[in-house]
Amino acid sequence: MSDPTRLGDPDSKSPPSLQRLIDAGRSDVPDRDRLRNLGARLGFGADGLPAGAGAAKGAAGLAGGAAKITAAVLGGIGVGVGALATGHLAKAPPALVTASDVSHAERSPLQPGLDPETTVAAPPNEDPSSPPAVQARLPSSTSGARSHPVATTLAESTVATPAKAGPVATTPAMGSLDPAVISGGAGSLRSPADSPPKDTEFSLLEQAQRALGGDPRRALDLADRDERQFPVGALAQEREVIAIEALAELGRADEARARARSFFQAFPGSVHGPRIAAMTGFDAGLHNP
Amino acid sequence: MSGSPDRGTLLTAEGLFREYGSFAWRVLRRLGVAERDADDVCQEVFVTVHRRIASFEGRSSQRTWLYGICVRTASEYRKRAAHRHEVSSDGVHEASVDASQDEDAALREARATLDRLLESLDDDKRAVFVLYEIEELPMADVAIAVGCPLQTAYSRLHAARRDFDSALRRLHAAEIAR
Repeated sequence: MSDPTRLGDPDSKSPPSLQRLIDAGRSDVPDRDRLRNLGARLGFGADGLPAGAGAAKGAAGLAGGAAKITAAVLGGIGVGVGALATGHLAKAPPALVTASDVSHAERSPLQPGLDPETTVAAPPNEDPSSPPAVQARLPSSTSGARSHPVATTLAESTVATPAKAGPVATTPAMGSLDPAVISGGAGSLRSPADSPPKDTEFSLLEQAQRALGGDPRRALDLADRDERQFPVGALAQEREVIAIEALAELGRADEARARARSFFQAFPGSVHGPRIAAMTGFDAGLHNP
Repeated sequence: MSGSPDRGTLLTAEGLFREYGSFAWRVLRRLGVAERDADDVCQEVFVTVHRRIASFEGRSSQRTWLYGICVRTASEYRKRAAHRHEVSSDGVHEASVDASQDEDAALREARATLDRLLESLDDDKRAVFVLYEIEELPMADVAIAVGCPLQTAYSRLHAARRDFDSALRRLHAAEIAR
């Protein structure tokens, strides 16, 4: 069967009024600023549009490298907040990017988002286009890893996440979520011009992620605030991972488990499933086919 | 149908955004995502692209695959939003209020009318209609994007055109009666 003539085509028999409606729909695209902001929110450099539009062109290109790695390796909050981090880093004042306490392995996913001149002692082979350097960081390296429980690679979460409950079930940290990298240790990576006038979904979860490990109550509060402010947000899964992690850290195992149950119902098949199963004792196989 | 691209030519998530981000935003709007939520939902689409792109199998073009994600994300959005408020009418209303300033009033009005007519279609028909008539995908790709057999897609298009036409007639009748 061949495709019929479209209603909006000039040679269709549609009345002109109908063709105008279709044309109006076809011409409806977001303006450039809107698209650029959206790209930046996604961590596609400071400019989500083709090169040449901004001063951050170089950083945008580098952040693009991070995005490739993110897409290839990260499943989970590393996708969302990691993308946030690259977005901010692409616009970050270079002098603030220190992160000197982060191991090479932890830093690797984010380094592409940094200005190469400010990158801290990156190994020569740390090429943004070489995901194996990242993928090789399986949990065997746990001894040298810091605890960033929500940051997990797909490989980690599906292959080797320790199958025990509680916050001790930490996976090797992904640099993309290292609070030191995201915040420069002082929460100051964003220039004033980049600072949103109010909380964004990303900024709330970034704060929540930073609070995890030290102040789980605050992490939980921030996650709940995010839920109230962005009930249909893009990062709902990541928010829930943080909340569940915070509950586990607070010793509120029953609540963590209840929230995990809701998570599996809301997001069956989520890449975070194994991670949550490990934190709460849920069997991912039962809830996350 | 677009066929399976060479793996080496596949776009990254960022590449997809650069190439098709504005189309994704547009199709989300026509699928009933309110103006105020369009950026968030579009962001959600590309977060999903991030999550899934490694498992893209090349059974369709990436563009078609992306449209499929848009269709599913918009559908989930509408289900979620239906619990909170009536999205569709909000979207139509906002389209006429918040559209960027350089759009002329006639265009805004036409889009508001278009969205109102699209609201008369159920989700399945609306997706086929939008992807074929507005996004101009071939029907084979439409079927893939919405996840139904090609013949079913043709049936939905036929029914969608009928319903759309009925809604348009009702609208005209109402305008005349006014």
